[in-house]
Amino acid sequence: MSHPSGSGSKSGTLTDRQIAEDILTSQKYISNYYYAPAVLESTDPNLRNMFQKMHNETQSQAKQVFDYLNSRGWYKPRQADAQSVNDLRNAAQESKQILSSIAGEMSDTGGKSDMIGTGQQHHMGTQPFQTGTGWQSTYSGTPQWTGAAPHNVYGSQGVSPLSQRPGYGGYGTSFSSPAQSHGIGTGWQPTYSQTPQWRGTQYGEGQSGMGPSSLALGASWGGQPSWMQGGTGTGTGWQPAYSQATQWTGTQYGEGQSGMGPSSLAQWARWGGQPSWIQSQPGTQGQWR
Amino acid sequence: MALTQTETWYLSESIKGETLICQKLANYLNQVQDPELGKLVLELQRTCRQHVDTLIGHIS
Repeated sequence: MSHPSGSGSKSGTLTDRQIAEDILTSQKYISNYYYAPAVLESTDPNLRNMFQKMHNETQSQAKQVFDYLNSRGWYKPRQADAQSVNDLRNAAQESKQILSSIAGEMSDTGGKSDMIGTGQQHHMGTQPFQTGTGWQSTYSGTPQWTGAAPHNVYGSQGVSPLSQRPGYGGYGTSFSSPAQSHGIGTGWQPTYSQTPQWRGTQYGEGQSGMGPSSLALGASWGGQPSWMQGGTGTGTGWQPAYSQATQWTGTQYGEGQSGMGPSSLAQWARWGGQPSWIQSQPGTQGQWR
Repeated sequence: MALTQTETWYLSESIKGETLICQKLANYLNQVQDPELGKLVLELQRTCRQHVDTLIGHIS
């Protein structure tokens, strides 16, 4: 034997432990950064299934490698310390309280939200809202966006026409942000922006360093973003900062080409600039055509 | 169905990633000392090659 497994190695030669660890790292990477988001963003059902199958197989085999390392004592997950467990319990308790308050709000409105339209119902933050054709919320006391929505980005089926744009990977409706609905025209009421905004923090996401989730990044807003504030109070003359409002510039336009990783939402949440493709379409006013 | 830009990117990156893993596994086969790990590496390599073939098959 040239070298014992798991201990030091000669230059240029890897130990069994190093080999197993590298394999596991590679499996984690391809599974988490390629297959997992590919499943979420594939439009073609066959392709989605293929990525899903590979994701499952890779995870299954990663478990085998983990078991190998673990059985030899080379990979021993550390037990959580008391403080971490306590923090976890607090987070769980806080989450329960938030959910209870949501239940209270729902009961205040008769146990249901007054929504119209046929779109999908979302629950982001404490205020459920609907992305159908023209929705209303009872929470703010002010009807919002009651006019016709000729450019309703969600469409009557609750499906964003973004998905029809070339190259769109398709988060579908799951991650649709109300911010994308801005710039609709005369039906706009500024109060709308305060009602359905994607706060993220309602469920504590992002506050505990939960990782690179776009929701976590969104949560860092903590309230009304400056670009919304800039457009308030102008009634029908409100001109949305459409470069912000309508942009969904993650995946569909070359995500990953910049090497920023798989989360287009993460880019969206961070990006404050106007993309070049909007600038190249004068007169669109941020409307998707 | 025509591929989207996103799908194309993930296919491309997955092919490159799986190919790299296959190359590494081939090298590791000659280095491992533990027969159990050798058997596992061989199995992983087989799956890896299947993945590459499947991925390539989807674009042709």
